[in-house]
Amino acid sequence: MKSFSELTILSLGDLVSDLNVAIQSLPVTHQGHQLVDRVHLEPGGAGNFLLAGARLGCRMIALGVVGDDIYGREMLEVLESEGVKTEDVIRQPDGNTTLVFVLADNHGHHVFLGQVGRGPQVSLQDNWKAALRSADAVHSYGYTLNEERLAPTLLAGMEYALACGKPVFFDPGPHVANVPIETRWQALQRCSAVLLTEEEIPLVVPGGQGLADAPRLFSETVHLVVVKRGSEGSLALSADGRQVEHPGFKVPLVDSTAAGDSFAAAFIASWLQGRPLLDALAIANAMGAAKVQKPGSGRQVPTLAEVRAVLNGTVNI
Amino acid sequence: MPAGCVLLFGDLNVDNILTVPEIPTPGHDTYASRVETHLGGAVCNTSVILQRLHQPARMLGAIGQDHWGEFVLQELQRAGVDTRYIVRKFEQGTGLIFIAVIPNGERTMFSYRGANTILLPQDIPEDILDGVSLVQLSGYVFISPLQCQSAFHLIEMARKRGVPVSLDTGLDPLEREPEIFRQVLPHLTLCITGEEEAALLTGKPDLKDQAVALLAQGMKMVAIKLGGRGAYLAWPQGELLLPAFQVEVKDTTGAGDAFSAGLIYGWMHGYSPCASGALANALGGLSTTYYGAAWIGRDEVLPFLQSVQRQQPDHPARCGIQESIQRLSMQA
Repeated sequence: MKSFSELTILSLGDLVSDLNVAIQSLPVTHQGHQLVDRVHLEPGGAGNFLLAGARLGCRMIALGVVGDDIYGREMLEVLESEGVKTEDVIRQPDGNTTLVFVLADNHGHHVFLGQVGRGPQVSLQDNWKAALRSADAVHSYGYTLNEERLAPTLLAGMEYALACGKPVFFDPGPHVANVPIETRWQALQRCSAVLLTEEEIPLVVPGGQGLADAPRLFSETVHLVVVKRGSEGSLALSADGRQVEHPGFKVPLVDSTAAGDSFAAAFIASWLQGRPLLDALAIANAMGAAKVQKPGSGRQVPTLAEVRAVLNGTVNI
Repeated sequence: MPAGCVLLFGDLNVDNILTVPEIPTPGHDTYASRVETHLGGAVCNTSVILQRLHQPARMLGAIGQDHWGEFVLQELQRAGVDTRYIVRKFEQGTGLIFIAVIPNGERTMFSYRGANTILLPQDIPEDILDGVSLVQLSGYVFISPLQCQSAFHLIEMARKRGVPVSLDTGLDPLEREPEIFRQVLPHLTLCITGEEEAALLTGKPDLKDQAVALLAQGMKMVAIKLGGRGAYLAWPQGELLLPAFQVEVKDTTGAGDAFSAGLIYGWMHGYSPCASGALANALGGLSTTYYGAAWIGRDEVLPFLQSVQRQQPDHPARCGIQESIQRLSMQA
């Protein structure tokens, strides 16, 4: 079995800068002025996935677009500090970084103020193709289909990776609801595995209600569907009719932010190692369970030791 | 004698202005149509305008070792401000202000003061006052214990070297630490403040009484900003109420900082109080015609004063306007 450090996983799109602003109290009073105790910037979106993979020891490659602005620079620096390769990320001088301002008070309430990144269209350039060819697997988010400058290239990149024989994972996410139906189908035709929650099934299966409709995601290209069920664990369905379920780990919930992204990184890495599906689910659930015990996202994704602690020897990593 | 440099001490910030349709309730989200990043902090705005009036400015303050700090340095350097004495801290990040603006223009602010609050007395080298002829303080330096210690240390350094000290109080800091401000007053040569602030400082409701009380502390000039109504100036020999110039207001951010730049410039260069006030009012008014803190200076304020002179030859501040025009025109 390959070790994590022998694996290269590429994440395409969804580079987000999360600016976490710790304020005194919510709701926000209009015209008010509050002093803030703490501000910290963390990679959001695919950043959580990339950091989680890097924490396991995988070689992680980020492809995507940011603005050549402070938010983009700070975020890429954090990724680089954790060993994520970012040199092929496009930094647009005339564009801006996708941003989420998270205002959080100390009672656990949040407010999100976001800005979708804008800038000139990007194309599937040669260095991106080379990066896609170098990867053992590619991961992408439906959220990126909202990003006009990148959406067509995301689809082209997924198609290219698939044509190169790479496993392509697609996580539609709840925001795919804002994406035109045809674009959603285009993404589903360009991936080999779908990672999603039960609630998202209706967004990608026409007329779909829930779990029972998950097998309708299988197609000429899609051979694997992984359903994330939060504290209930997860299950994997393969096109040959096999269904494997892992009940998850019962742990105290502190903050579920970034748990799904961390889960995805651990699942893909373990699956690439060639482990049985049940073990891959167990490792992914352990990663998710390790995350929910910690507050925050970005650099707060679990370490390998924290994942091992949850697994408690049931699976060796 | 040519005036030396102005040393400014206050918060060095990056303003992040988010234009949003609404402020969401807890658990909800909203999308900003624009996010802008600007240099912020009262002393930063004032220093930029001083430089653009060809008045050398030097900055004292602390930033973090992050890209926001880089941005602050770049912007100040772009304006020509001397940034050699700015300290970089690794314990805390650069000061960041988040301003959410909704369509009716209402602004909601969150301030992270970060590295600003940990500037220490030992971060201020002795030679910082070389060539300095005025120290300008922002009221915000008095609301965090370490920064406050540093401010008093700087005041003491200035006193020893006979360098006058000026303060722009600001309302928010004064409301937080009124007692500290009362301790600062006797050290000031110039005090720039607002109506509410002056009332808080002196406990008197009337402008004239406020000015008398402040001058009794030994100041040479008191300027009370009255927003759209102009400004009230008082000095030991006289007083003056200067109405604001008529402008099309777009955004009042930084107007007070621009006013301060005009006032201290006039004072340093020996302008009459009326001319100092006219220049301060002109810069304050002009800055409201720009969105955000305006990068304005001599090239903008001179034509503005000339047009006021043409259109309102009987303006109550005509003597000051005339004097400012003459003196600014003499500048190469």
